[in-house]
Amino acid sequence: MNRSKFRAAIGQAAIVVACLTAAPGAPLAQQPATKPAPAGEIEPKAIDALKTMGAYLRTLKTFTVRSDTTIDELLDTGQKVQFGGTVEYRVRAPNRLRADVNSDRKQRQYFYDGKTMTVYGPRNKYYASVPASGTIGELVQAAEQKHGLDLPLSDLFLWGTDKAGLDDIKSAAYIGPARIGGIDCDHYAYRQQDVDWQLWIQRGKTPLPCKMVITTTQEASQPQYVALLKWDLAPKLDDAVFKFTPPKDAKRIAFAPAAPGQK
Amino acid sequence: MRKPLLRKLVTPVALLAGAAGLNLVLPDVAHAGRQINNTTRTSVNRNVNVNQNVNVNRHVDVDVDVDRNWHPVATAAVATAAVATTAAVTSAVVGSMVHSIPPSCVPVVINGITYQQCGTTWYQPQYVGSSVQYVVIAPPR
Repeated sequence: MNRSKFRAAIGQAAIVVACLTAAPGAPLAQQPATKPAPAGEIEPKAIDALKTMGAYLRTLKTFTVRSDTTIDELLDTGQKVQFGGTVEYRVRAPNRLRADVNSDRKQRQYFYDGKTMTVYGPRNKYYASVPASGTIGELVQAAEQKHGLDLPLSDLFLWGTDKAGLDDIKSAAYIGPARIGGIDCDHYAYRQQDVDWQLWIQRGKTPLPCKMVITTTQEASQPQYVALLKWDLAPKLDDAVFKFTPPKDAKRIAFAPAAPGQK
Repeated sequence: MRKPLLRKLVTPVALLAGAAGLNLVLPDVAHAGRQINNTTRTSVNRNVNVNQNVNVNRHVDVDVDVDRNWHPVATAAVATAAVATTAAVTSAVVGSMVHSIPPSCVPVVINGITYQQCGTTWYQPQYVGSSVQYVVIAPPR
């Protein structure tokens, strides 16, 4: 590239920058829907999509959702490595939950039958049970607060409730259409403290989440969790699915006392 | 420098054991696998209080829960002198916590709760979140 062409390129770049920086002043409504909002802005359409999806999720009485997942973890060296896994939720609203969470390194089953919550490791044979009550949304929050149990994709049970955390969202944008597993979806991107996340929502009468990507921005290397979701809205789930009956060789242990972080 | 993985709580029982020159069971260093720092979020909404403790007890072995004979990354040059020293010093101290125990341990059920006896050292397995960790305890019987 000779010097005059280089100058011309710089000039064009400056014009582009000027146009981009002018954009945030323009009223949102005049922007085409396919153009993402500048960082820090909230497109009402992207929030409405969350509300519509959440309301729909809460109308589901019985469902199974199976998810193929990948998660980045950090080695002590700082290197990111990726593990694959699956998450299967079997749900009967308002208070029956069964989760099978498997990864390359860990297998866990969670049971909630409306009275007791149990975590069980099919490979290590250890289980811990505690009394529990309330809706599934209340259960996943209590499990996290009391026992540090992070159920993956627990947002599925919080969207459409007053715990959906919509007020925490600092940026929301519609990215565009996408086709996931043969299903037409819409792609949205959100930002809030510590996480950037993306959500793909099925088009049409069943606005179910098709895919979710969570980027942990709190970490310098920004590790990601990716989940592709497949839904069954008419599964046959009998009571035995949700009730933990210890296998003969299962060993009962306890949860660690609460608040292990107090030093 | 990241935080030490093992918390050391020196108790009178441990001091007595040390003073008496009792044989303390050393951990199986071959099991000291690579550590991962699993802070990657798998949900968007999270309790604020939990967030503050996000780095606590979230270090786990890559090969936690993996069948004992399968250590893809654990064995080679991983068991460094530093790891071995830390583990040896703290493994049998009552109140200290480890991610794995020697293969020679025997499960013992007392009052419906399972303990692991490894020679003279006793561990109480417990769920910390979804991970099993082992706390060194005074012999329960």
